[in-house]
Amino acid sequence: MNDKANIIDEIKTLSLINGTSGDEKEVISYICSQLDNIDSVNYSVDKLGNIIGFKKGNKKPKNKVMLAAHMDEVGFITTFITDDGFIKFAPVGGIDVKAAIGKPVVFQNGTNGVIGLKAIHLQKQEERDNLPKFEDLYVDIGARDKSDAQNFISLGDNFYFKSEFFEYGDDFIKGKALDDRVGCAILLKILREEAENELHFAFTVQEEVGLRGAKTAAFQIKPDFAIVLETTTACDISGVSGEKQVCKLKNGVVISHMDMRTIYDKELYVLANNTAKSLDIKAQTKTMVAGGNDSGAIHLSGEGVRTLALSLPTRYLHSPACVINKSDLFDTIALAKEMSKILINY
Amino acid sequence: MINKSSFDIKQALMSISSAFGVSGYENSVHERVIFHLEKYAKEIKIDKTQNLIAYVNEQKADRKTILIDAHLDQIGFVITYIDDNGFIKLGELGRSDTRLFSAQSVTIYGKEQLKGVIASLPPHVKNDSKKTPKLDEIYIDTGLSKSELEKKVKLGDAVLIDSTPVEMLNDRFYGRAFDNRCGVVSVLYALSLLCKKQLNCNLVVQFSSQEEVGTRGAMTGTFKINPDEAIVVDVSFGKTPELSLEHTAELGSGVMIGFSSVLSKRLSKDFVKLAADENIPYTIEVMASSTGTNADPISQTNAGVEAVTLSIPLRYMHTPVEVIDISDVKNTGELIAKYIGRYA
Repeated sequence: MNDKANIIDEIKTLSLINGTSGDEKEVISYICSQLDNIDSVNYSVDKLGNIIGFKKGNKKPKNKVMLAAHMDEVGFITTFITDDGFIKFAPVGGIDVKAAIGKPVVFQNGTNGVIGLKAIHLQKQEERDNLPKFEDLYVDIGARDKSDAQNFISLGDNFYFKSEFFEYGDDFIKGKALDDRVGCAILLKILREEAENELHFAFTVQEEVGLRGAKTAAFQIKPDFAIVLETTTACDISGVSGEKQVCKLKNGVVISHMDMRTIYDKELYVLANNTAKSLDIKAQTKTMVAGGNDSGAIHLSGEGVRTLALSLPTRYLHSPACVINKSDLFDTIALAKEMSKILINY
Repeated sequence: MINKSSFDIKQALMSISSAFGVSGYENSVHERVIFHLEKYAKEIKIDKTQNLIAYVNEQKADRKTILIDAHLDQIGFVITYIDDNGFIKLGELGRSDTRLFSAQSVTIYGKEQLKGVIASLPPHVKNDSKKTPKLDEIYIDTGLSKSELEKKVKLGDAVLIDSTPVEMLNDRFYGRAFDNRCGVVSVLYALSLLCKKQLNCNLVVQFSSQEEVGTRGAMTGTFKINPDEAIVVDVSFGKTPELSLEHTAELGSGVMIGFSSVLSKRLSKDFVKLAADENIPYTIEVMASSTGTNADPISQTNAGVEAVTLSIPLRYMHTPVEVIDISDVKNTGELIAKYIGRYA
């Protein structure tokens, strides 16, 4: 079996599943179906929807190590239906309004729509110069009026970017929800391949609305160490230079020392960097303090958890076109596997 | 009387609207249109400016010539520069709205078709993120180095934002290039209704080029055809919540019949009466002076041409997610067929 093709297929499958914070059901269902086929894995789904479990190892581990990836993606929620049948909405998670305008969307029940905007011909200069706010936007599903729309959509219904998954250029991958379905795919791969060591894991919910699932997941697992598998903003594009690029695609796995939510365990940061170096795994760190991930909740759980975050540099995060590179994917997998082995006996 | 038609409006719209054919590259879409046109036309020609012209019946000198025009080109972009990182900068073909560019995927029509993504600056590097990005600040991420890219594309090659037509509720569709491929489809539908009729007029259909960059194709095409009357089929603004009905029409309300200083009052009134008599849903679209359509140059071609506009209401014009109602396409085609059918 071609292993490299396998994980790309799984990332594609996961990318095309729709599941924003609080609406992770379809992702949970897919991941559980995969876990059911992995030997020695026990898991349960908690009250919030976190998938929590462990894979039994041959040896008694010295430390309890938890690997975590979040299942939710950014998306939208229906807040109101107008008399003429248009859907008003709010973003779930941090979405730049530019990423939403003029995009096709699909509701969890399959209803298609578009986030429309006034034609350029009719805009006044001021409207052209300034971006609209989410409250000015609406989704058009083709409904004739409010009651027509209500036959298909209810307040509170979530909807999603409709976005093709494809590979382009030199090993680049584009798709929605790569944050953090890529982390989910890596975690599944590690669970499938780990034979010896006992590993604990959490596929978490509600990361995009404040690291909420990770809080209850870490409380239940009570790990000694945690490795968070994530994606992080890269801005290595034309028009941006120096530290503002934050990190670069094809430069390897991102080992964080600090972001907006976490000051990472210094010893683990150094250890991960040294390990990468010794194994010829490309690694980098972020050149700005930006973003945050489940580490923010996990490292403050209980009496505290020593936490490491390993991320794929990702362009255009939280948009219908997140972009990663395969080489970073394999670097992240390699370092995550090695660090989990090391920390179990650390 | 109108014949039963086997013409499938939805299928034709899906096929023709998804073909690549930006201004100046209309030849790429001709094949899919000719596929239909050859069933209805006596002779098909492509002129020097890539207008696709169909002489529906035998052209005789002693009778009236009626032109039906619908532009075939779509808005898009051309590659103006490839930078050292292998990112592409763009020039516009037609007016587009940079507010919706962020995180769109694109296809680059080079020696081969390449995929790419429109790069955009995240909030942490954009000083004033409430401002609309300018075209000059926008790059295409190709995932290739400059040297690799230059083997596959050259300056002047075209780029389109990806979009696949999708059916919505109530026979409505979203997609790109419905401006004006839905107009083209309504004309093909009209021809299918008129099929096999002996007409006592010369009927010429012109699927014109380069409308989006300044109604250029219609100038040369119409010069050659030299019609007496012209029916110009295009799209106009569909009603959305922030717009007034004074300037728009509801989707599903039928064909929009144009009245303007540059149009023929006789024709506009005649079409309104015909629509009313035949129970074809319509609204009246009043434009003070120029129409912004091919009717503007067509009406002043040669010694002058009496022209009228028939427009299909369309929401979110010049975006990859234009929305139309199939019933409006159908009604537009039926009104055209009724008008031409008078010469049968």
